[in-house]
Amino acid sequence: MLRYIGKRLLIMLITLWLISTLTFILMNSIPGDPFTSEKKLPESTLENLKAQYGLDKPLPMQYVVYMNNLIHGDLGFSIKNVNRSVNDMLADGFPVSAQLGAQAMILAIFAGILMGTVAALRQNRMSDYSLMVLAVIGLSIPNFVIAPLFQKYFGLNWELLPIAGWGNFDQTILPSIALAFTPLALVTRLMRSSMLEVLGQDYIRTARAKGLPPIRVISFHTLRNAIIPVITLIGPLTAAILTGSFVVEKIFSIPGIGKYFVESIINRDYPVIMGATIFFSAFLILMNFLVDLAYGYIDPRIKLGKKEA
Amino acid sequence: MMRSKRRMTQLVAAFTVLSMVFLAACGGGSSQASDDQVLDIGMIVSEPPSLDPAKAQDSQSGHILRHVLEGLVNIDKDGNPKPGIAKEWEVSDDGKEITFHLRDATWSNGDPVTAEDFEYAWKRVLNPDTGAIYAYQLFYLKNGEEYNAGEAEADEVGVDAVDDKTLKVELKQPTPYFISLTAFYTLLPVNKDVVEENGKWAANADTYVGNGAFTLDVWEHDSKIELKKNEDYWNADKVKLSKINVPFNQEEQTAYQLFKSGKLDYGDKNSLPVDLIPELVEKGEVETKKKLGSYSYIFNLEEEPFDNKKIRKAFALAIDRKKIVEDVTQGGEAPSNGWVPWGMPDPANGEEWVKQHGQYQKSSAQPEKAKELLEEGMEEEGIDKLPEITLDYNTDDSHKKIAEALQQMWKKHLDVDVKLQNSEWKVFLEKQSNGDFQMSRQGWLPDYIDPMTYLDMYTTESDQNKANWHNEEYDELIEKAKSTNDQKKRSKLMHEAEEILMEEMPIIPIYFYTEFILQKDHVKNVIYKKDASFDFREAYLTEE
Repeated sequence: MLRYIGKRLLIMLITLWLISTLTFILMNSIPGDPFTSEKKLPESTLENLKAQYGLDKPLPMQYVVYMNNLIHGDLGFSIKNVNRSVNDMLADGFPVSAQLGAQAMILAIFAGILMGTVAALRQNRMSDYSLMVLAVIGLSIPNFVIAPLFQKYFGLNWELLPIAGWGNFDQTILPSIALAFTPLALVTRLMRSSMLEVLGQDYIRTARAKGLPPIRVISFHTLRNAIIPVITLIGPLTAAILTGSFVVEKIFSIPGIGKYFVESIINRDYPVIMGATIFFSAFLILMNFLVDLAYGYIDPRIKLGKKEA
Repeated sequence: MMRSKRRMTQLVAAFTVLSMVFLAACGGGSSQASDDQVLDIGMIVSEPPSLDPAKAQDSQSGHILRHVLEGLVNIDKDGNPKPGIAKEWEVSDDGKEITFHLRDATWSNGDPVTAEDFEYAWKRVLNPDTGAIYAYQLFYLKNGEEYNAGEAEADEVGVDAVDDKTLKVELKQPTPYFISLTAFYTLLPVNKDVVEENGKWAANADTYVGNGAFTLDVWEHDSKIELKKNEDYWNADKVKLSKINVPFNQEEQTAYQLFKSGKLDYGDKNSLPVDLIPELVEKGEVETKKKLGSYSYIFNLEEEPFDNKKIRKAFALAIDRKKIVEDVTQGGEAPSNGWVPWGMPDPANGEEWVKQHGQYQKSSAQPEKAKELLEEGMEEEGIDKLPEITLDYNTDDSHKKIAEALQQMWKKHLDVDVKLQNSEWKVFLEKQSNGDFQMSRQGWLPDYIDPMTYLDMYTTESDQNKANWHNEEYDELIEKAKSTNDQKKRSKLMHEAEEILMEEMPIIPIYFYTEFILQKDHVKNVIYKKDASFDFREAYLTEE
């Protein structure tokens, strides 16, 4: 097991290095730079600016400098937001995005598993159909439509919850629900189909035939097997949701890190592009790793790091 | 089995009810502060990139900077300079020397504001090591440009603190608008001791030291700023607001909802969803103000077919500007009659510049004349078919609508097919500055309040002359206007220059901008100024 973990960690590092190198190359190949503006700057000013951010050096040199800093955990300073270090930006914004994402994930996972299970147990009945219609709606209506509707009704018309902002729990409710919508629908649908598949297995029939109470059949025999595909989905989903949503954070004016992924590219804010990409990749890779580890616990048949005999 | 199913259904029902109760219980939690002179404003979209005047480069930072720092002068409602930290000033006869006399004022840490702070701040902007993006705003100083390029020493720059309260400025050329320019955020002072001790002083509220009407009380990055009245401000008696809350709302829709719910008192175009503007303007819920800004298309004179003047003019004459502002933009904009926008004062008499000259271009299309000019132009070039023509704009819905309207007008009036090409903002700008276009969109806001900011950009030497247009007579007129301090003479020369520009037509001005103001009835005395800034210094709130 330890050897397996060691090997995985090494692969993770190599992946991360590849991603950062590729990002570095791609980002430098898009036209424009941080100082491209409608009012063209005088040549001397441009030179001063580039010198200040080390952009006057040849690219391979910039790459070496960046990688060296990266190894020391220094992601550099934002060019757009003067005097803010990328480390600080991520350290300030990530807890916000993570809290919002965690709330949304908890809602999506619990409600999703519950709804998926109910739908499967009541297959082809009214409650199944209505839950599936809800899931399709959840998948097909993007959150930039749902979020403003929430704001208008819950915030403006009924005055139940704050329209936007961040700071107290009230303000997290609407964005969490808006953010949970799509994953909730995904989990529900996946849970339903996987549950149906397991319910048709022989061992379930055996368990029932043995006269086990239905609740025990469902919770011990069915759920445990049916949940595996959902766990697979949860890994990357968590990584995506915890690292912030550009749309939801923007609409609800939440100081998370979601916007850095988009705005850094618009601004050609090189250190932020790199920092955000590396942070997200590291998180995603780590999540996938944790999911792989989790399989082993949930399903003892999955043996990590051992070749099948 | 049946029982468990029922239990599941009950569980779902219970869950749903519980979450509803929970939602309802959490509602209505927020309340407004009790202090009645607290203003909530909604014009800041996101984190101001920098509150260090040397590094600031955008209007968002500018809105905050103008309230936490005060320069030598302030701009009044009509765009004229009035005393700020300088209580008075004298200009030498040749217009090249200005002496400012400073009043007694203090920094928020208790230090006195001295002439040396200004000298230090300005030289810091020009210092090549600072990497100040707007250094060019101080190129008016003698040796300013040279110092920035590393060709002169700091001591040679034309700004000198004669004593604590006297600042002497030496200019390269007479620059009558330089006094107003000292209100621009790049020229605001910094506390020398504070900056020398901590280069990152402007990154956080607790290290920030200002001298303005308000202090930077709270700065939660990416979330909000709170400004508090500065009791030590020299003119504190006039400041009535105790606090200004500045939450950042990226989404116009969100800001507008907040405004409607009463959480915001004041906003500009950033608090207005684009689709709602026409309706709200018509209903009078939004006030429109003239904004100094010119929307236009540039021709590239180094590309066929726009190297031909008649063809350029044909394209310009085929445009119905009135239709564009009435049917497309619908925000109270005005069809341009020239390049210098409305609202700009004529230096000769302070009247509006656009009313001091004739209609360089009509607001409706002149199809016959356009068609005629096109044929003549094509004959001159010896072609019977126009090459393929592409119009460039940056990706944005409003720009797209305008481009499509133009495309239709050219088709209808000239029977010419024009291709539209949109690109991402910085890609678009790269193309423009590399001359890789035939016709390209350009919106232009002034650097300072004088027609010169629109006119010197089309001289041969200018970096902003993306049309690659060269005209000796024009260059000469601008040169002459720049070397005199006589406002009447300057005005006349600049009018002549604009006439040539509009005759040669390297650009087609389309319309003049408007600013939109959303304001609750209890907000009084906010001043929207010609430099597109908002002044909350003397604003106050009445009982609702």
